Amino acid sequence: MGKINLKYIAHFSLLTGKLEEMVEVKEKTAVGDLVKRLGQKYSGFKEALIDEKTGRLDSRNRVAIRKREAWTDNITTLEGLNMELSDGDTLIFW
Amino acid sequence: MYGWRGTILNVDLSSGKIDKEKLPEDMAWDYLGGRGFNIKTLYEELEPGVEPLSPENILVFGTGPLNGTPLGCGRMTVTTKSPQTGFFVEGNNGGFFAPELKFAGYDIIVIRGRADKPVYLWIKDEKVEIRDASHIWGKTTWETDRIIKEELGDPEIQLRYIGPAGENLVNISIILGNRARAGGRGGAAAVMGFKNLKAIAVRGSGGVKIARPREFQEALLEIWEDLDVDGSKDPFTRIWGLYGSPIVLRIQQEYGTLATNNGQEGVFEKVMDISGEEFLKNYVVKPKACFCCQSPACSHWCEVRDGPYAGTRTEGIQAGSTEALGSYCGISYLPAIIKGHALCNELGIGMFSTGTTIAWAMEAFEKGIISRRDTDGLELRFGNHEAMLQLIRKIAYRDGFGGLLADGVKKASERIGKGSQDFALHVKGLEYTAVEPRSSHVAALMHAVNDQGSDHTRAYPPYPPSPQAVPQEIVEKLPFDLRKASDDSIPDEKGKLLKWLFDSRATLNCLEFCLFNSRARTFADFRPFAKAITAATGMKFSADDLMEVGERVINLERSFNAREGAGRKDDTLAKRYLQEPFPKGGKAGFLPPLEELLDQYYEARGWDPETGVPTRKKLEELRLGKVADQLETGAD
Repeated sequence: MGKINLKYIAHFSLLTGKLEEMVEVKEKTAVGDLVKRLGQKYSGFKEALIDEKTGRLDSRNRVAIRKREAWTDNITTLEGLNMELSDGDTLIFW
Repeated sequence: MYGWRGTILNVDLSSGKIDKEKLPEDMAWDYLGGRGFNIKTLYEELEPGVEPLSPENILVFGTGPLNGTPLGCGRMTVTTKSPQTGFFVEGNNGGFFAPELKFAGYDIIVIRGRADKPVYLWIKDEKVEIRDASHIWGKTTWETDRIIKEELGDPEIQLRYIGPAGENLVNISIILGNRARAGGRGGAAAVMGFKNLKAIAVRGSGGVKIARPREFQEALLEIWEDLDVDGSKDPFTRIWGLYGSPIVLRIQQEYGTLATNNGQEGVFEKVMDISGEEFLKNYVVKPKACFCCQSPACSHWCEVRDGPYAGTRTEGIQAGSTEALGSYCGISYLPAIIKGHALCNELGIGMFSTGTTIAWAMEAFEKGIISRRDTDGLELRFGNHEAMLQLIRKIAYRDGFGGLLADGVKKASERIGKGSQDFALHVKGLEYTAVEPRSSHVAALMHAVNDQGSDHTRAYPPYPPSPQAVPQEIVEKLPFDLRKASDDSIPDEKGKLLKWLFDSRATLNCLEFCLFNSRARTFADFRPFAKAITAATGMKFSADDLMEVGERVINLERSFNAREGAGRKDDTLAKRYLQEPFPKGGKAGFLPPLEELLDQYYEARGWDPETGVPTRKKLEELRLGKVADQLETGAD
């Protein structure tokens, strides 16, 4: 179990109606798993993020992750969505 | 001519002489317009060492071949020699003036001399006259806008004007139009004030002739499709249109690069209070666009409805306002920032320079370097928005402590001394703007080597193109290794990247195409622009030709400054940026290796690595052999 801080910037704040929220995830949850979950919770969320044709992150959006102890680069590829989340991570959507 | 109107308007305020000359075709080919025309004119006309506040200095207002066409946006450039830095300075601003000037029949206005009393210039098609402006002198920009339109009986007249700050020869003053379209940091408005020129009014009834309309339309649709909210592959297209640039504050915050309390930190704890989301939700009334803006209509008309600043109505708030008058000064009360923005526009002073200068004064106050005895009793602590608003007025009128700040942060810190120069944030004497130098290698280099001083717009956006958004054949031809250039953990390839960014953005400034519209494919693929400009003018330009114009302009700008004695020694950053890393946040600990980056940049440019000045070989390549002669001999 871990707590993940989610930050919604710009149109993602409109999609979710929130600027940020905290969610709990099970161990070994990947970013893609969480995006799928958020897609069920917020209409249009997954469609905004993932390019339907390629299954990759849509270049019109960015997802960034801040690991609990270190900053990493933006996740901009499908491989990025495979990154495993850890307790205390922050995901930023814009 | 097609595209261009083919006429330069010369105005000598000393003699009152007005004449028109033909725009030389080779000038159009070599410099395209706007920024290019202006620096060519300034370089050729000014003797080295000319005093900026003298009748010998000139002001050049330049448009581009696309202005007045549906692709042209409303951009234009004003260029002069800066009283603040001693180098050239130029401002690129939007609105509706540039297309109107083209409709009146002119590509460029060159203002020379000095009037013996306040005047304004009235251009109505072929009729040009210098009119008395005694009754407007001292008025705010908004009042000036209203009075001239009423006086000339036409609400559609387009204007460029100065406020009280320009009249009072404030270095950090700026020229405005359409009440919110500002440009000319470094004292272009002070030069206008010195010349006793309060405003330029223009109304035109002509059009811009297109050489091959069908091809032009095809190119236009190609570019528009790329900028369309649904069609664009760029992350900023949607959010820019909805929020404008204030949306970047929370992004910068997350990356730890939101300059706070005069750049002492990169994280502003109260960012939510001044965010783009807060601005849109509680203050925006409606979006506002420049001429023929396809997207993003990034400006906004906004209003404060309650609290001590209720009734404030203004326009054009961008991240520059919410950062410079917000986080830089530790201010989190958005209505005060909006009020400060309104005051800056109405009094005619620049948001960035004002915010950066006041933030410096706040730090000096908190460190005990200055006290209330110096500040006319103001408690200048970070977060004190009442004090900030009072200071804005004082700067514009050179009143008391405001008079010290009116010359800009470099000169103010030199006068105060006591170590305050170490945290005076400027490059070449021009205040820090945005995109923190400690946010990336290329950002640091961008500010340091910028010829007019700190400025984030000349390499905007300051990162490499996304391979997902740009055609593969263009990615393969980029003059740098995209993988290394995109990796900010290493300095590699950043010199080449910045050269490419500078050259391509200079080209867009010459076309007078809006940089906010350089997105997705149009960020890197200049083939549609080449197609459009060829169809518009009938002169065949390739994408490589366009890039060469940008490179020529950058080399001439650097040569102008070199003639004034500038070189590698001036390509530096404030001490804070080189020695004080952010204490926390995503970029904590990072300091740019500036000397290494400079070496890379000069090598990419083909400039002398010792002096940072263009070599004869490079200048001759760009058909600037005469400039090489002058730099070598000092001859005119």
